[in-house]
Amino acid sequence: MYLKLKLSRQLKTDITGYTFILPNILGMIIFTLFPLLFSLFISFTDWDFTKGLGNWNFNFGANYIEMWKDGWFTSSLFNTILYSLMVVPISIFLALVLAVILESYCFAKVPMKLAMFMPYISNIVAVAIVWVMMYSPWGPFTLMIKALGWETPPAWLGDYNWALIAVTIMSIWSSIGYNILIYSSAIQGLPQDVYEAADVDGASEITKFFKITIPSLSPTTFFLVITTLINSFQVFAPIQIMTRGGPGTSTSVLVYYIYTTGFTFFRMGYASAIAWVLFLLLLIVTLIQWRGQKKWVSYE
Amino acid sequence: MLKKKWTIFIAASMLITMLAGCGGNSGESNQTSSLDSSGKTTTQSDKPVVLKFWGGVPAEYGPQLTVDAFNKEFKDKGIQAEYIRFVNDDTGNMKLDTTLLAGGDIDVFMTYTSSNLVKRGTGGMALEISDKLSKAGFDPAKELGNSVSPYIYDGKVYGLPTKMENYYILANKNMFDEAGIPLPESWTYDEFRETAKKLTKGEGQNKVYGMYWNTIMEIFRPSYIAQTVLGSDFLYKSGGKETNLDNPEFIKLNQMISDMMWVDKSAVTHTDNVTQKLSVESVFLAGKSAMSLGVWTIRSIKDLEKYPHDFVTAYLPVPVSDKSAAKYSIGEGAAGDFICVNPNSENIDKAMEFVMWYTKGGMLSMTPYGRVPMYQGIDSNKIVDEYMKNGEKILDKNTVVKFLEKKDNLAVSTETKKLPEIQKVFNDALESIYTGKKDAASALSEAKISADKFLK
Amino acid sequence: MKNKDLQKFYFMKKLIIRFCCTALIIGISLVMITPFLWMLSASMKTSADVLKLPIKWIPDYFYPDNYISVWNIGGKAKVDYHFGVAYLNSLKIAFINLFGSVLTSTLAGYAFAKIKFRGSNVIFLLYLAAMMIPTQVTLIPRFTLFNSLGMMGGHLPLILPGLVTITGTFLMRQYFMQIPNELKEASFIDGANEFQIWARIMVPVAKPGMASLAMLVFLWNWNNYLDALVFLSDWRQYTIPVALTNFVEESLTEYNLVMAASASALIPVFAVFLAGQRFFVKGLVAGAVKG
Repeated sequence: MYLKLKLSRQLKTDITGYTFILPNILGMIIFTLFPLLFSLFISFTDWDFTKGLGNWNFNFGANYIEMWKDGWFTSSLFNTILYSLMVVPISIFLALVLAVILESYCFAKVPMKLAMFMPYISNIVAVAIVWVMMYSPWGPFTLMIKALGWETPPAWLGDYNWALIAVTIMSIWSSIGYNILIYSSAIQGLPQDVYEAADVDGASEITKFFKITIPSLSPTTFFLVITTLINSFQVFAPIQIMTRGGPGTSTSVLVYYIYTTGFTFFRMGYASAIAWVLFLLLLIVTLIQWRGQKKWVSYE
Repeated sequence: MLKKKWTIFIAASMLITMLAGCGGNSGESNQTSSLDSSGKTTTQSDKPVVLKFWGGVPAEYGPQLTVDAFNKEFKDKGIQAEYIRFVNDDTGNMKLDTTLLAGGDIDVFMTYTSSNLVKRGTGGMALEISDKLSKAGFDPAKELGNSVSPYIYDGKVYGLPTKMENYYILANKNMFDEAGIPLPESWTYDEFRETAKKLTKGEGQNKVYGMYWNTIMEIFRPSYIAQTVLGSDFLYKSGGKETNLDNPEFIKLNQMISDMMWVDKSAVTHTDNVTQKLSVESVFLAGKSAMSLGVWTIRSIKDLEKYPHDFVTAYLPVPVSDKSAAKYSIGEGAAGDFICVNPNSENIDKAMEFVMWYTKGGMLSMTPYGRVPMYQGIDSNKIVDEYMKNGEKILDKNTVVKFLEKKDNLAVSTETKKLPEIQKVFNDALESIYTGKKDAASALSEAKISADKFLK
Repeated sequence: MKNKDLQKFYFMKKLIIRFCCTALIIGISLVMITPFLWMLSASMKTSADVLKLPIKWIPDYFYPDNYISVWNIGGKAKVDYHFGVAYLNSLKIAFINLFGSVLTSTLAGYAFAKIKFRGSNVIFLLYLAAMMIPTQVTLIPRFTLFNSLGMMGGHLPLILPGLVTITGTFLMRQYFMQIPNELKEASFIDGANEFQIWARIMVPVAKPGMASLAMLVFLWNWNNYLDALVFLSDWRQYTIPVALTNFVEESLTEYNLVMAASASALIPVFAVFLAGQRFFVKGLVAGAVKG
């Protein structure tokens, strides 16, 4: 009698729970899970969009083999990794330093935080367009570099070696505000007693920064490394607007190449295979970090 | 009991959200379309058929005038047309394809490349109209000229080419006169290069270049000059099994362009082009170059309000590598602007009426903005008048007229196998040539090897 | 005495460090907003003045014509870029998705946090994993799906997937986790069912969290570029980012107009976010705390 009642109550709870999540689950199945599996499926076919739905042949992983001989893919992969390796450490380290200065040594921090945060909430398309002009020979960025003593700066977006760096600078500018914000709130939550103890021991500000602040912020750093990395692997809009992958292939990145193969060459099968490689890369990177985190993140 | 109530409530609220999505959407589109039609169609009592006409040209540069003229003429016949613009790039064309395939609300549409024409014709997106044409007594080869024959596939017509276009060199006649250089009737690469050198003057901010190669929007464009010798399918050889990128014509042409930029310094460099986002408007029309490659520039030339200038623009032929070998009149889509009918249209016959009207002269409203009709039945003086309209003082009629004459040596492209991929390879190579990174011979022979892979 | 001097010295040192740091940060903040300042200044100059060196940050006279022709105010512009339509479209999509996804996320977030239904942990783990899936991977299938459903050429391809956000569900779950169970249990004793508890007790308590999520969703939708680029085909459906890129492609060299267009896309959003920044910042931080 008692058991029956308990069971039916659990069943009722189940029904209630599933009703609450029903719209959500439906959305996820239709627009995430199903497309994910479908894209895995077509990544093993030679599907050309112009041939119509269903008109595909299995090529048993040929896409995954072909891409390593495809110069556009390999340079896009290389550029994506290079770009991420530049964006992630620089934007995180700069953000950490700025956040510490802002929180601990600064008057009137709120308006300054807002100023640094403005690029992050800006429409990336509008911002990229403004930066194209910034990099032109008469744009403020080039003029500023000249004023700093570099008399013949490179052609930035028009230069094979500098174009990716130019995009990177823009990306760091636009994402750093978020990182500062997250660090700031983490710093506000740091226990003050440790610092007071260090003060008593006569530790310098630099020592405190390296010995206390950095280690105790490691969970935040870990979070930011993952999100920044994921975002930089998926960079698209700045590339599409500022360089279209050029000059040559010097700024072609994975998502831009997926877009080109899918919606210019219409090779949906091949494009899906590349998308899956991107997905797997993200998974691997995140897994490595989850494992590594245990070693260098201290959660107190 | 209570539980049932809230289950229903949640389901209902979910439905409402979904419906808000759909309802909001359809409401919006209804609103805009009614807004459009209230502006364009006036007779609402008889409910005339409104043909949806999709094209890639901004409405303000001709299409709106064309549609207005049609609506005036066909007011009593119960047909009206509405112009809808799509962006004529790869993505835009793909979206047009999908809208057609999904049975979207399109009656007549423009196709701008032969590869898209074939794709749409064979893929059920464009109606085969040869029957309807012969019923109307319209023989394309006769009425539009011999150049259209490549666009009739085994007797099948998927779209009528309506427009003839030439590439030419835009020349600042005042600068030529000042330098005492006569306007050439024809010229070789060497003569052209020398002229550009002579026309280059000044330094720094005030430098006037001899030539401006507008490589920024479409880096590929100057290479069409090689068509003068190579003819129609200049990117392919041996029947489409191999690319032709290492052809000496391409090497000679592109090496010259690079040398003009970096050796002679008589042309604006591609790098300046990219970093400063230059254009024919901001260089040639601003008097900073004596020449440029002329393509879609006529509407800017005539727009004196936006690009004020007082010099006279002359049209010169493009230079050729060898005067005796140059046989073709060139242009990207030298015969182009294919007007097509959607096979799923509910008003096919009325759509055909529009097609015939447009081809036979309706499109003259587009001529002031640079679109020259193919139709042989239009008086050539009328075409010249339309083309010169509002530009009489700043266009050199004597040289312009030559590019409006009917021609039967148009180079038309028909082979389109793996064209997007091959063009991308070509573009990458051209970029390395124009930035002075590589010489044309090595860049193009490398490009041929990688482009050939796509044809295997 | 000595001790006092030392204290004074330390105080002075601290003050000097503070002033130096503040100056440094002010300098960096200025550099950060330089692009915006330049954009504003260039958007109010004539085309020729934009190129003049040295840069005049404050134009000699303000030239409003750029904004008039970008927005086609008075209908006299040569080419109408339909910025108003794009604005309405962006707003429409952003708001529908905002209400839709806040509703679905609040429902599901509550269920995951407070209802002990079987399988909830497994499903939630699935959600966490799904957060890893880049939207680019599902782009082509979504395109195929909407195309075969005949939904291309409308806003549904942008709206339907936007009604559910996994990150939003996650955020709301985190929010509900903080709310003590006692609140719920007390109501249970009063005989209320789950839905009543959700609607009458939990939703009011969760309002700040919902506001944060709303700001985030608005931002995501407002800036969504790749999807809009692929799914929208003519100006009647364009959203701001797509309208902006088309605008730039067609008036490439008119830097002043391009700047006016960019500024038009940015300024209203700044206003909204300055007004609601408290919620927004909270939302971002909440997402980060237990990532």
